[in-house]
Parts: sequence; structure tokens; C-alpha cells
Amino acid sequence: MACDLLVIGSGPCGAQAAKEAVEAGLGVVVLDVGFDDERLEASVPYAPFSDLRRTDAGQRRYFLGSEGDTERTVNDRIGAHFTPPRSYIKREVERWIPVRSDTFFPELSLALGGLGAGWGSGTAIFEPFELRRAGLPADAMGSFYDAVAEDVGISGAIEDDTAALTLPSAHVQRAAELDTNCDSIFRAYARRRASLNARGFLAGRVSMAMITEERERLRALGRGPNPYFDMDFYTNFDRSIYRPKFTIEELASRPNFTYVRNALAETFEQTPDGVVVKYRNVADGTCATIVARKLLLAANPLNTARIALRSRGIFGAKQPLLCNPYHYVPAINLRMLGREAADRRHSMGQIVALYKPRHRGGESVLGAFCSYRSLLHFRLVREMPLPVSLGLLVSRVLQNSLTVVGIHHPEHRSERKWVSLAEGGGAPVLEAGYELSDAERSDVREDMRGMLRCLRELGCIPFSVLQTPPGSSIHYAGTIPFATAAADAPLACEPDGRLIGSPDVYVADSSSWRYLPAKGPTFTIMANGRRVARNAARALAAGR
Amino acid sequence: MRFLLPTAGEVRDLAARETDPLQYERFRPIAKGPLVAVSLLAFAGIAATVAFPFVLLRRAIRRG
Repeated sequence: MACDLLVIGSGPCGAQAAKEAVEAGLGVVVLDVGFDDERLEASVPYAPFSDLRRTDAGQRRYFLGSEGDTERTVNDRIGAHFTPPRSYIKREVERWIPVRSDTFFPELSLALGGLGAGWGSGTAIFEPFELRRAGLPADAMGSFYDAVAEDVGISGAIEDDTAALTLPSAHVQRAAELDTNCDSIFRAYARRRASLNARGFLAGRVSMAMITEERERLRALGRGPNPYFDMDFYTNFDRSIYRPKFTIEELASRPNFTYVRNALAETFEQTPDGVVVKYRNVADGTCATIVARKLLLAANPLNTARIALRSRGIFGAKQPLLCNPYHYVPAINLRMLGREAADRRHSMGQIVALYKPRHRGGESVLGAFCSYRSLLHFRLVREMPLPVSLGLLVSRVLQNSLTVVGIHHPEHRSERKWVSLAEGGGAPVLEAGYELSDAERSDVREDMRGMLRCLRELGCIPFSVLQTPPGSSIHYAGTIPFATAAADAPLACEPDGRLIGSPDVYVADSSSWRYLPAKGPTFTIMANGRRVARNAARALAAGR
Repeated sequence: MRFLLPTAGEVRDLAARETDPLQYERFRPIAKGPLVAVSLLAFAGIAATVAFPFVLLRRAIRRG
């Protein structure tokens, strides 16, 4: 098999890069393992969470999973949103793409759509200084953000104080409705706005890849507005939340597009005419090759590094690694204690807080407010050092006022955060190390102190601060960074994404970024995927 | 602290009951006003203080 452009990975980056290249008329192949399982998701009756809980005798199937899944479901930590219908996202990761580390615990995926299949759908844009610091062209990214927004359908509120996070575009639909709990927090913010703003704390409705309005083009793809059934962790009614596999399905009807499933890319080899990629069929274990004029690596920064290091025979040398430190804070919204809450809601993030503490010098810390409901009581009771019956009573009393704030911190490079490829008996193994410096720890502590003060001012009383293990933020970057004069990594890439030393290989995902702001990176990853795909298409058109 | 938390068996049993539609009412949020909420939380705190040594003992036995 041969093609103009070979894309490795079907996640948010790979899907958008492939679409850009297909629209440019290139012959495109996407190479992907592509585990998928829609049976459970499709079996969820089209009804609100509260109706299903009250009436559906078969609800255990999708809330807890089959007999084997139940054990895992009841043991998963709070915040793990890989519910039974989404368990395929993590399928066979340990077998095929393990990461060996005592200090870094990433989530990876071999699913169709990659980790994008369980993405929280936040579409924050980076500010120009953040793009520049990451190494991305701030003046050119706007049009790529816009192209992604038109394609995936996003909603948000450019009139809110957090407008800097929302793409100023005609493609942005109205913001999603807030649930009762977060609506009361947002009203509290409006009353205390001057005081909170003086502390550097701004709040607004979340910008998301969730459809809130009818659009003819999206309806033709089977997608419509979110019905506010609060079932978004278990299924995707009306396909209102974007998933990269929608793009792959859409492209499948184009004559210049091919999707190769069950294919785990292992190595590439640069030749005078292009690139030869070797991959393994995970279904039968056989190996095969594909020849491409250009190759786009979009497999997630850890896997992109794994493929590139192995292909170039670089073992033992350290590449940098970026991953946002992450906390989550369960809190009680005092205004909602003992109050009724409406059933009509969506399950995703509701309010976003953009906090710019003085010690960060202009950098932002980001907080996402969620209410806790459709993940069920047993997950909360499991965490309470109480007899079960009393734990359930406490959980029922607190449920309508329970607010979970996920807080991401900015991430900078350091020698203590790295990945490296180790030669093993079989396939080489990716190793990783991650440790914050004392100065970074101090910054994070300061972030939290300020953020908790603002939460209390909003009437949200935190009752715990949970620091998650490094890697659990699922925001990864920086493993094959844009080159600088310092030449500080064995593998690096050019500003247009080309891997130095392999002129027909492009790094399309966030591997190339030199900095990771606290904002969810997925929207920028998609925009950059399109940018790099366009660069590759231009090089092909110019005969380079 | 883990030994203070419910056992896997207790959580599994709770999850099974929670997903039984016949028991739906037992798992609904209690929303009868802030005063009732605070009273119930205070009751839960006192009851836990009294009951917890026995629960702890039972959990220790179950965990072997």
C-alpha cells in the first residue's frame, strides 16, 4: 500500500490532520489500532438519568458493567470517568504500549478516537503569549482554531469574564445551560465579582465541543443539540459531544481516504522517496509496511516519542516531558445545602475559573466546576470513613450541593521530567520520570491557597484537596520539542513540524510544544494538527 | 486510613442496591431545606461516633 500522507493515530489531532489533508486532495491513510465498542453505549435507552434510575431494570449493565467490569467499576477512584461503556478506551494499553515508571502514571489509549473518546470536551484557546511560549505561531493559529470549531461544533459565552478562553468566532454556539448548583455559584460570582476580580479570579461558562443549537450540516452527520439528560458519562445522545471517530467515519466515504484498523505503528524509515512505516497487526501479530510520501505522527506525545526514538535507534537518552499538575477539590456549595436541584442538566464541566495569581507573572491557573450526580452515590460512600448506611445518608444530604473543582496548573520544562526508550528482551519499553522542583511545588501550593480562598468567598467550602498522581491530568506534551539554539534534546522538530533528520516526517501532536499552559490542550492540539497537515500538503505540492 | 473505609464487598453491595429501580427512593437526594440538612449531618456525626468502633471491628474481621 502507498499514499501521499500517512497519519499515525485517530485521536483529536490525527482526525483533524487527516481531514485537512483529505480536503486538500491528498491520498490519506490513517493507521490506528482503533478499539471500539458501541454496543453498551448504544444499548442505553434514550431517556433522562432520573427516569432510567427509576424505571430501567437493565441499568446495572451500563452503570456498573458486566460481572467482570463491576469489580473494576466499584474499585475505580472518584473522578475516573471511564465508565463501563467507555472501558474499551483503555483496552490492552498495558500489553501494547506500556510505560515503566515509579513517578509518572499516564493514561493512554488504543481506541478509535484515542483519549478523545472520553475527552471532557473543553475548548479553551491559548492566549498569544502561551502559543508563542509553546513555540506555535500565534498569528497563524486563529484560522486553524476556526476551522476546527466549524467542523466539531463548539459552544461558549464570549460575553463572560472568561472570554479569553473562548474562540471569538461566528461558529461558536450559545453556551450550554448551567445546572441548578453551578447556576447558584455563578450568581454568587456575579455578586462578588469586584472582590474576586481584584484577586485575579474570573469565572464564566465553559466553552465546549458540545452542540447546543441545531445546525443543518451537523444534523446531516447525525449530530444534534445536547438533550440535557445527564447521561454524558455513559453515552452520547444525539452525538452532541464531539468525538474524533465522527471525523474518521465522515472521511470513510471519501475516495481519497483509507482507515487501517488493528495497526500498531512501530517504526518508520526515511528513504529518498519518502517514508516506510512498519506496523504490527494486533489481531494476528503479523507485521506489514506502508509507503508514504509524508508521515504525520499524531499518536499522543508518549507514543509519538516511542515511535520516533525507536525508529532512530535512540536508547537511553532523555527527551523532555510536560504534564500539568492537577488537583481536585470536593466542596460544599452552602447555598444549595438541603435545596432541590433540577434533573435537566448535562454532566460535563459547567463553569470555568481563570485565576491569575500574582506570583505566576501573567500565567493562569484553571479551575473547572462540576456538580456531582450521575456517577452515583457508591463512589462517594466508598471514600467516607463511616458505616455504609451513614455514609449514604451524608451523600444523599450533600449531593445537590456537592461541587468538584478540577484545578490545572501551568507546566514548564525541567530535567526532572523526561521520557526515554529502554532496550528490553522483546519490544523496547518507554520509561518516564516526573518530579516537580521545590520552586514548582511552592508555586502550586500558592496557586491552591489563592484558589481555595476564592472558592470560600463563593460560598463553596472545600472539605478536601486531592493531589492526583503525576500523569493523571491526561494533558501531555513536549517530548519532541521545537528546536532552539540550545539543542537541548536528542530529537527535535522544525517550526513547521518536520522532525529534524527525517525531512518527510512531521510531528503533528503536542509533542512539539515547549510549554503547557493550565488550559485543556485538546482544541489547540486539533488546530495544530490541521496546521502541520497543511504544511505537509504544501511541501508535497511544491515537490519537496 | 484505608482500613477505615468500607470494604469492597460493602461497596459492591451498595452499588447493586443503588442500581435497583425498586430501591430508587432510598438513593434520592434529601432536599428538605438547610436546617434539616444540617440536623441530619449532625445526627450522622454523632451516630458514627457511637457506631464506628463496632463497624471497624466488623470490617477488620471481614478483611481477615
